[in-house]
Amino acid sequence: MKKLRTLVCLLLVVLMVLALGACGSKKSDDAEISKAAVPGKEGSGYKYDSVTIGCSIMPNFITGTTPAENDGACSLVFDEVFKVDPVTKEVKSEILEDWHFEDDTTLVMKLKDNVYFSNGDKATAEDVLFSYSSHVDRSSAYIWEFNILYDECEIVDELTLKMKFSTFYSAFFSSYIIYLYDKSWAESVGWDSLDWQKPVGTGPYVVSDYKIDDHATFTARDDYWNKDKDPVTIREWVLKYYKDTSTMEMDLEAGNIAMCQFSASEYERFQKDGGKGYDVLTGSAGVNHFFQMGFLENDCWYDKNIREAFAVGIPWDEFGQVVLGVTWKQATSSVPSDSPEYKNVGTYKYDLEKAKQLMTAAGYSEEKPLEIHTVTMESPYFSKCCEAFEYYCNQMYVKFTFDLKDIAATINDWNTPGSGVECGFYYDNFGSQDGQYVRGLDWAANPNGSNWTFIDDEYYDNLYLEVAASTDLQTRIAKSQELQQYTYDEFLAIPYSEMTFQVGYRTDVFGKAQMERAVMNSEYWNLANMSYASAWN
Amino acid sequence: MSLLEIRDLTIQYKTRKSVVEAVNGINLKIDEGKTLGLVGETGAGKTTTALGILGLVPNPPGVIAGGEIYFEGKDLLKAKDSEIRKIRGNKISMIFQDPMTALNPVIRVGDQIAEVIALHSGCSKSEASAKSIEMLELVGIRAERSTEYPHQFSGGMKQRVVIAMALACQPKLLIADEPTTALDVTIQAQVLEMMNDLKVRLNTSMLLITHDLGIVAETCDDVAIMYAGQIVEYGTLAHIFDNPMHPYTIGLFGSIPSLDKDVDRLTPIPGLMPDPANLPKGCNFCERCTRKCDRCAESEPEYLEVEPGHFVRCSNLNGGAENV
Amino acid sequence: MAKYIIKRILWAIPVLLGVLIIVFTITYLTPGDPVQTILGNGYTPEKYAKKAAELGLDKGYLAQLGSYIWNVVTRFDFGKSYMTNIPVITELTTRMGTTFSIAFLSIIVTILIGIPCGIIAAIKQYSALDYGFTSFALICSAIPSFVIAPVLLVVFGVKLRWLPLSGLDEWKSYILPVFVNALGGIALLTRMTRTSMLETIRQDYIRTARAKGLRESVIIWKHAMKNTMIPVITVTGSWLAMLMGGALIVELIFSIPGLGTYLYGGISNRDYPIINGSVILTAFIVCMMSIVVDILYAVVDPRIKAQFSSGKKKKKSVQAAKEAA
Repeated sequence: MKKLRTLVCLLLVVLMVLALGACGSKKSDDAEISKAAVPGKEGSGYKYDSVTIGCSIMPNFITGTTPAENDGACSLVFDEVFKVDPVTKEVKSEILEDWHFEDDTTLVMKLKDNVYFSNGDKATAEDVLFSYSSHVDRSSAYIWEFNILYDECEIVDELTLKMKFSTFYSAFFSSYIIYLYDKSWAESVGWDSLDWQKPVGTGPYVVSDYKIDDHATFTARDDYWNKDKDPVTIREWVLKYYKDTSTMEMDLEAGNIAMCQFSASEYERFQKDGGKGYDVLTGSAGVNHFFQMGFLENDCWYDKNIREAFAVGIPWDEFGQVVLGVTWKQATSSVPSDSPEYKNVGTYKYDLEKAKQLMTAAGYSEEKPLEIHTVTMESPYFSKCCEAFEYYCNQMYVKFTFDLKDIAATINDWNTPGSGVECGFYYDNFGSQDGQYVRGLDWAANPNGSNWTFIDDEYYDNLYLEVAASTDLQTRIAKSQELQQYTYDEFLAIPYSEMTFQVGYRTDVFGKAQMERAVMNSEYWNLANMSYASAWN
Repeated sequence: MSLLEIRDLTIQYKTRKSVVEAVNGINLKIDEGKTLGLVGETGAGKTTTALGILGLVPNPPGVIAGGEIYFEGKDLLKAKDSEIRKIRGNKISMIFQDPMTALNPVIRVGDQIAEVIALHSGCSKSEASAKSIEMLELVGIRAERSTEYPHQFSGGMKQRVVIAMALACQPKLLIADEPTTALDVTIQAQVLEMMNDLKVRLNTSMLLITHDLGIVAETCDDVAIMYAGQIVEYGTLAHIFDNPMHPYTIGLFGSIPSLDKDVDRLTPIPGLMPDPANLPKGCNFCERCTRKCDRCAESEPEYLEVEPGHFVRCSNLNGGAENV
Repeated sequence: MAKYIIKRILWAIPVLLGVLIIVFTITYLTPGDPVQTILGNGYTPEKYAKKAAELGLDKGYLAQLGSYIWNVVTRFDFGKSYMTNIPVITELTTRMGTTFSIAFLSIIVTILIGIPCGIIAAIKQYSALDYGFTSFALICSAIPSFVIAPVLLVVFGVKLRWLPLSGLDEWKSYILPVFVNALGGIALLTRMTRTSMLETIRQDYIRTARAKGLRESVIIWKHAMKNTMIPVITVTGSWLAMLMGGALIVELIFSIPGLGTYLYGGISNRDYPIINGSVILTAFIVCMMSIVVDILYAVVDPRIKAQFSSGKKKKKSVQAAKEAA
């Protein structure tokens, strides 16, 4: 019995220690932003000494690879060669002194003279060229997604280079996100090296600590070459990795991180209950969710009647609300509404009777329904899509079956003809806010490419090419609107929602106007931009 | 005054469904230096009586429903827990039936004996160890074996260890619950001899529980025959063996096979003991008795003293062995 | 005794080799291609071939198996992750520290709470305490950890703000993960200890001990404990082995970079080096744990120890007895 008593005493002691520890933390909790953002030290010139934000993928600095690069992190350590201003749609550059077209197909770029990497190397034209050509050498995703690169490039002098194109596509400026890499450094360490966890770049920060699956810390450079432009107000960013997004959202609520992306379910809860000390903003992702007719097998989709049946036989707005909940936003074109090329072509009016007539005309009935199948990834979103779609299909003489598999098995099936992948639920980057088409030429002609539609339509393909190749903004807008209308009239793709994203941020760390600007321009992840003093007004 | 006197002891096992009347109002007496044999078949209530003396009846479900147990003048049933603990192993020791499981398999044999010595005499560990080795030698086990574990001993040796443990503190009363039942005959003889020897040397009284009349004849001074929780006959060795009066006792003696006679079948007592949860109204032995009459089934027989010191619980006492 | 341990350790080697071959084969045969996972879709055959050759996946099954075993045995080289290029052995050693620290803390808490609760429940069988502890154990094992963990997070991390929600930056971060792990273990251990203790105190030698006049507490702690511990050791050992392999749910929810999430990520991405390396490590842990458990058996139960002891021991005990006498 004596031993039992000692054990009970031990337990009580432990509980007391816990309680004391809790009391301790409560006191420091009076300064609510103690963990998420540490205020800057006196006289340091920094508004914040350290700000912690949440992310669900670890920073990866090599573009065009899997896992995908984390743009937020990249914006801190690198400068982009070209950047499209999200508000004015102008093409700008941080590091180029000047660029111009010598003729329609020759682009001349001149670097600034004072750009330095974090290891002291001076940025030269070689580095610029290398940053582009590495995509070819590495056969990165950029190349097979949209190969609109130059045909040849000439180094004129230390700071000047000349690129020659057979056809110049405007996507070159906006969609090729090219960070300036240090050629000599990259070549010395190689692409597989772990040194890429702390890369050399020209940006205002360097990676001071990188612990995989845990966090990455970025510290402001004292020798930043562009220091005088706009002082950086945050000395240190800590990107904290979360494997489970709900823990991340909880940490925001608890005040341990200052900003993170919110999932749809968490946003729903926020809308109902509100949040203490934090706010959630919605932004447009610049893409639409759409029902993709065809993937590997496309036979049934060639019948326009069937396509129309699907368009009018399913209440797509309702479908969108079911699968996306509060994040649903009505899509009124294949292009999002905040794109400069957007045209309101309207939605399809739900008419089940008409759909049934069309299906009957195509030779299907209740007893003999159209059978379509798909394979997609096991996730709450896709299973909702498939289940809802199955329900609606049943009402219009369509038997829809689906298999949900894990990522690797799904990709395996997507690459194997005959796996029975006949449709899908996808989103794509068309008419994004910067107004450029992302997909390159070969995709339009490639029936297996992932564009809006898998149906071979010559008129569509030609129109698409015209849009992509238009370097004049007005022409492009006109052609694009024609394409949007054609898509709608021919039932080539059925958008069911604009894609939105939600960002939560602590109101005691960031200002509302600042965040609204960032989110509206889809630039909330550009942490470098958020660090500048000008951003805080 | 006797060393141990049990008066009207009643022990029951109370379950949710029924009450098992294991011991029903028994009276026993043991004087100093004497051995009382408690004889009966399995289920008669002998072990329960023994456990009752030491307060080891498992509770729940066992309950001591009445009576007194006087040891050295004090009623054990009214004593406090701490007082009883001082008596256990010290003044009254018990040897159990199955030597194979009576010892703790993970503690050395010498330590188990030393434990009881140190507990009751308060001497140091080394002294207790020395004494335990003495005890082992007393029961015929070599000193080196004191550091071994029980599984390294045979059945007979284990029982000897148990005896050594029981006698280590030189108790006044030793309760031996069928100590040799689990052993083979040759070992049985050895153990009995040793027990007798120790008993004489240490002047220990003994309550020997057994169903073997042969053992009773060799070791006991007094005998009590127990049936269905009651003492049906009680007397000295001579009383019981020369002049058994209760039909059950007579039946017991009758069922022992004899070397002289040449018979085809043995003569057991017909029938089975009554269910202790459901004892009959009148005499418990009535069903199986050859002498029964109408009165037996109706009323409990009285406990009569037929000779000085010889008690029988029967309603039909005319005649004796001849009537069977 | 030492010979026995060495023999067991040597036996672990063919076991690990067997595990290696089986796991390698299973992952090899499972649908899902790491090259495809890395390249996504829309790659060219040339690109596929190039990547496959880079990762060494273009060779036949036996060649791949052979080179893998060779690397592991001669250089402890488990290969590099296909995704992140980080050597598997580096990741394993780093994450081992994290996972093991949580595992050991959890098992200590489990033992400190589970065993006494089980003992009390057994001693006071049918009392309110007994019913209380066993019901608590039942509830704990019925509620899955992925329910308990977020609830605790919300209560202690968000609402009360007493404890951090993720990572292992300070000592307070260990409290919730250890607690969630321990709850499952406590449930198991309480029930196990109670059952074992109930069985033990019904034994005859406990009655003998009582007849010697010993106090209940001495009987429980000195006579009953060691006998009770044998099945408890088994259960504790396997529980600890499981925790050391990485309690996945806890690591996921509390964002702890441990062995569990490492293997989980590897499986999702068909990252064969990670899968193979993690499984071998887990198998190794289990082998070692079973050896430890066997040794503990021998420590607790001399009947088992007797199987291992040689003549030397007997001489020693004789000496001791002679000196004592």
